[in-house]
Amino acid sequence: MKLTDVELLDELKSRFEENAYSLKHLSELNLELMSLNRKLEESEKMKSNFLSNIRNEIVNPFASILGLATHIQACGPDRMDKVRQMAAMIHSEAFSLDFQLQNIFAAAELEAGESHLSCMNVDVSALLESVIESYRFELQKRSITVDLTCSCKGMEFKTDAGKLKLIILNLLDNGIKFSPMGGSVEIVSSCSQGILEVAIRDYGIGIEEKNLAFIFDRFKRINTDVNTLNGGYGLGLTVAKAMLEALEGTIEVHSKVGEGSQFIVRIPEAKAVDEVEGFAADANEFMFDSDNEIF
Amino acid sequence: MDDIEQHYLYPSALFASARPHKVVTVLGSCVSVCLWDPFLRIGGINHYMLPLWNGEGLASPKYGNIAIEKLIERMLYLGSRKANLQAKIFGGGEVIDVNISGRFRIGERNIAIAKELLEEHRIPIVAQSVGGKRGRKLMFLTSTGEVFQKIIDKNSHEIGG
Repeated sequence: MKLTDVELLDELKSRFEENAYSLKHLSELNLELMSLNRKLEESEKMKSNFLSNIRNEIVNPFASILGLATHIQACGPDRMDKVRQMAAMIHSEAFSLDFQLQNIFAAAELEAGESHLSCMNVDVSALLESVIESYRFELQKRSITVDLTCSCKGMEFKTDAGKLKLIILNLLDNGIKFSPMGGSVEIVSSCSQGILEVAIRDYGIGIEEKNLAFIFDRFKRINTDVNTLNGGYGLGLTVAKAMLEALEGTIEVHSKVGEGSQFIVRIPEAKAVDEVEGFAADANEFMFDSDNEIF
Repeated sequence: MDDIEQHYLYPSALFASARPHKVVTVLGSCVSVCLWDPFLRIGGINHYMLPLWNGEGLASPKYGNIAIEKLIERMLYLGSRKANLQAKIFGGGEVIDVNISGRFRIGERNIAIAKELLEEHRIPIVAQSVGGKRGRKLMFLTSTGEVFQKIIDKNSHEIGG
């Protein structure tokens, strides 16, 4: 076949373009790879920090619990007021320890792929109230108020209660943690058309826009100096998000520095158990009917 | 067969057991790798949604590179030798409108990572049903290594992953 000069030039041109395109694509991939690598290195570093922090953050609360318990034992029967006070301190230390451990185990379970859903009918407003109640001492100590507005009072919603509770615990904990003394946190919950929505708003320090992308990364603590005072491992929001994914839900964040943050979660109602389990009415049929292929 | 324990595998989870199980899962653009050890007659299966972990969120078996490594680890922990393992791979259909999801050709990339990693580990793929435009419902018998598959209609709302 003979090509004219013009055809030859066109062919050459198109091949050069193709080449340039591949090169561009390759350099883009390379950049992506480099940024990924940086991220993984960072993640590895955070993981080792985590392992060294965890010791202090678990050992210290235990030390104070043991110390307080010894004091209580030494208290005479006439010092009930003091005993009460110390019991409240023990409760608060043990509560935060329990909460941190729940997050660590939840993260470990999710990373091992061993997290299962166990759905049941949940009274959402009672669940929210019980989560708030568990923070009573902390709220009193820092004079923070939590306002709950729940338009789904007494209604039942089918979901995984344990996961929902840990999600709310983490968001509320976050809201309280970053609220100033005497501040307030608002929880608004509603449920319509099979979607549960819970919005948690605080008027605390807020999150810088550039940091919003990282708040769900594991072991990430945005403002380390503030966070050191507040404790925590940087796992809470990561766990909350992963659990929401398991529930096929979503999370949305609005935040402004100095004005506070709002987290909105939306969760669709779980399907009936037999549907979820994949053993619906047609299940046995599907296993053995003729259009079934076997590999 | 009815006395065999059943397990429903959710997206991002993985399952392996020394006891016989029927594992059921539903796949759209997600991929499941089934590993089977014909000597011990035990098996394991994962169900991942995206090919690679990008450092965001948890390093969970939601991502192929993690899900496959963890599944192999789990099989070795149960006593299998890597050289004995066989793989079957399923899923990776383009059931979600690629324009909407904004993630280009997820199914295809999910399939590719399975093939790459299994080759790297020298685990042979003895059967596969991948790609296409529809979802799949699987039942994996961990004691025989058999996988029953039913093709299901495209409906991204019903498809787990």
